[in-house]
Amino acid sequence: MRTLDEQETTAVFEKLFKFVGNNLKSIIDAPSHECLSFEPLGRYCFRLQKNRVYYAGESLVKRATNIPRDKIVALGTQIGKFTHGGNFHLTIQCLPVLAANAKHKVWLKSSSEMSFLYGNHVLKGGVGRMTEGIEAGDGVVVFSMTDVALGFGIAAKGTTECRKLDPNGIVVLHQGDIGEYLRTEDEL
Amino acid sequence: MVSLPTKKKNHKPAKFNKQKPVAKNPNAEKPITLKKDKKRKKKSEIFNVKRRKVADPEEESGELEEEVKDESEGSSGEEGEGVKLEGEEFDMSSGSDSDSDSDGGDDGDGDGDDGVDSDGDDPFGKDVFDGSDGEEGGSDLESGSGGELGSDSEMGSGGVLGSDSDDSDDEDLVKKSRALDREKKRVEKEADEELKLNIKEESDEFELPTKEELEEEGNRPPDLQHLQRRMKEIVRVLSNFKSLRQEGKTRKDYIQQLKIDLASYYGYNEFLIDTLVEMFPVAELMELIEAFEKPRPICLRTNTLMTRRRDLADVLLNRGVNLDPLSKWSKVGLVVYDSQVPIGATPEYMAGHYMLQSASSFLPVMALAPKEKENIVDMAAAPGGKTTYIAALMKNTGLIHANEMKAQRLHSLTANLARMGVTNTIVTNCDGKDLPKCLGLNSRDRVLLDAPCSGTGVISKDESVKTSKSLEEIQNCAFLQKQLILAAIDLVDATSSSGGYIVYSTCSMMVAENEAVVDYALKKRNVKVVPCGLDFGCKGFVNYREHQFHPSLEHCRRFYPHVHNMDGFFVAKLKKFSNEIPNSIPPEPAVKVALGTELKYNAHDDTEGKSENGNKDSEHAANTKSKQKPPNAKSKQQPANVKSKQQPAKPKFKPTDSRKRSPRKMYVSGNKNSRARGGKRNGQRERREVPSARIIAPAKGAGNKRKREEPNRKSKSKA
Repeated sequence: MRTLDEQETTAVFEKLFKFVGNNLKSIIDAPSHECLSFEPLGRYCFRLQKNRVYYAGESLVKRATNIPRDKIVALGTQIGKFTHGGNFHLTIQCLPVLAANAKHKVWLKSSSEMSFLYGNHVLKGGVGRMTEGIEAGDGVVVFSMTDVALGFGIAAKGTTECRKLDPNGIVVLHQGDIGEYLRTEDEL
Repeated sequence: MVSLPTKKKNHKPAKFNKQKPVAKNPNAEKPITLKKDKKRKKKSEIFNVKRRKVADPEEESGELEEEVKDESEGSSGEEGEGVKLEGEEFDMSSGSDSDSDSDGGDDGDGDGDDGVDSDGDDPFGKDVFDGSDGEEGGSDLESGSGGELGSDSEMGSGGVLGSDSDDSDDEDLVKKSRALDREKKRVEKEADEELKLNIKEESDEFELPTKEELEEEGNRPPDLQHLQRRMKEIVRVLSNFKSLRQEGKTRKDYIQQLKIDLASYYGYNEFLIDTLVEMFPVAELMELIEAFEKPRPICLRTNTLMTRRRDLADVLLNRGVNLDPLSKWSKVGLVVYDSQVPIGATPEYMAGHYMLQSASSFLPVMALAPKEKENIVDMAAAPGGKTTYIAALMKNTGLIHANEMKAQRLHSLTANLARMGVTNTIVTNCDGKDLPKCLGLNSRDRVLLDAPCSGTGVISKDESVKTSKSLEEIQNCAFLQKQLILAAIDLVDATSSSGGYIVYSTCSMMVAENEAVVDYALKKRNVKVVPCGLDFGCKGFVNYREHQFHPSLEHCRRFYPHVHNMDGFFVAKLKKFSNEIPNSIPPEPAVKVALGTELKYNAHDDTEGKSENGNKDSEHAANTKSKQKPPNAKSKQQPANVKSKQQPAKPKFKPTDSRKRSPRKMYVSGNKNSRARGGKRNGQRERREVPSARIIAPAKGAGNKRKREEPNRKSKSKA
């Protein structure tokens, strides 16, 4: 387990920035409660283990250093994975972090919830409401009408363009959804 | 007159009929048995199926009809119909209902009939057949009486309508009623005789099958109904062994047959049935095995990090799930009766609002009772139900270390942790026995060990356990569990401000894996058993067959499917009260340790003194003797005797000197810590070293040998 180097850090932060924007600061600076009673509240760190980036409190990270590298499997919250080619993709495990700090949100109607959870893109007809100011290419977090985070994706169209779209037009390109916990548990 | 001939006729048929019933007795049972008690009915059915053909009951009812026809006069068609109706009703096997109906119907008719009716049914039912097998007789009586009543009522009504003079009718009625009374008495007697015969037959029925019968059975495909009946009979016999036993057969024989039948009926192997029979009384055993056949209800646990039970229940109810709160002992559990949507695939499940988990899995975590900001280890964490519960109880504060040895199960563990929004966990893939080395001794607040076990408590989930377990497997499991529990205990810090607890749980019912392991831990480490807070369970065994366990083991809790409606489970909570490991120090005062340098010298002096007298053997003997006696006693004894001799030698054994020159340092890694690791090494080496260190020792041969070995060990002592 090691810290991220410059390139990796920039890649991760760029991806996160798409979804949370300036709230990135609050993600990085958040105080961490995952510490013991005699320890002060720490901060969160990013660590890399086997091409996966984890977001965990200081206390956790400290104690994980004692464990042999090949034995550590996971730590705190997984943010994403680096591919073979060096690109960084966010994975669904980081949804709680994203959802808490999301800038752009889309709420789905109940009828199209299941479709999104199967991995399909969000169509105009399934959109209940969306935040203003979404541009094409922004990171969007998808919620259900009951404010349960369902996943995230990239906006294919901005808010204003969406209004003109026909009902079958794609609004959000699917990138990750909580259905993956059931569909592709082994690939997480 | 009608009356006289009837009397005579009554006599004749009575005599006639007395003979008939005797012959018919074996056959008389089926319609008789269609009476009140369904249990008795089954037994008689058993007899019927075994011994008789189906045609008999029909013959019997026909015979009844004949009897009644013989006795009563006139309107035989009606009577016959009445009787036939009665007979049919009996044959339809809703015996009690039909009887009551017919009797009720009869009661509705004339007064005279009422009197007869009231005599007819209950008194016979109760007086003669008190709780024994005589219901055949009772039913016989009732059928007879019912038949008579039916015919009587019809007769009565017919008489009222069609007779000429009241007087003659009254006489007829009186005489007929007398005839009926006599008939009843006769039938009673017959019923008594049949009773006795039946009792004999039934008790004969409980004969254990002979070898030939068993062989025959072996050749035929197993008759499940037959087996089931036999098992029930054996249980009945065993419950009242003195009165119902067959002569010449011991209790053991019955139990042996029961074991064989259980094994073949339910599909268990011999070993498992033997152990279950040893653990439970027979009636409870049947309940337990029946409970194993059915699945336990599906439970789910609300994830309190994300939602509340009430809200979750509302949402799920809207989706069409039929659920209820689990029990009063759980505030987060819900039990699912049925569901229109797949309960493991709802959006709420995917969002991590709940976890599908069996009710028994809540228990070890409830016993552990983790507090916020503690340092917890879960030694066998996959698939993560308990780990996520611990995290929820801790509200994502503190630190959890989830370990899982098998790599294939890690995926489900990490996925569940991520899904349920747990952020304070490190997941590792170590062997549980190595965890103290990995994580550090005496470093954690609480440890949960849900040990890998034989799984005999979850037979309802996995039927293969019935046939695949053997004594070896149980012993292997127990061995592994003992190692793991020691590792778990070594992880915990006894001086922790809020903790110092270990919870050991298995999903097995075997004593070898449960109480025996806890007892082993009590002997090997400074722990004690404390109440685990789960008062609704059964107490753990304090003794079991030849084993005697520590009495505190009654604080452990056992859970059974047939008592608690959850999987078989065992939970024990231990509190570590000292970080030291007892008995790791070998009982050699010389070598050992920590008691103080003076002791060492004294011990050395003692051995030295003895060695002057003798050989290596005596030295060794002296050493062993010194080892066996407690060091304190030694030190007290030695100074008086030995000091005087040893004064010249003392300077060599000054503390600082000995430490510098002590070969022990060389042999041992030089760490003071190594003592804590286990004194064996120290002890053995010191044993060797003592003779060699004694330069004065006359047994130079031994010393020389040792000294020859020394060059390997960088000896600093004079060779």
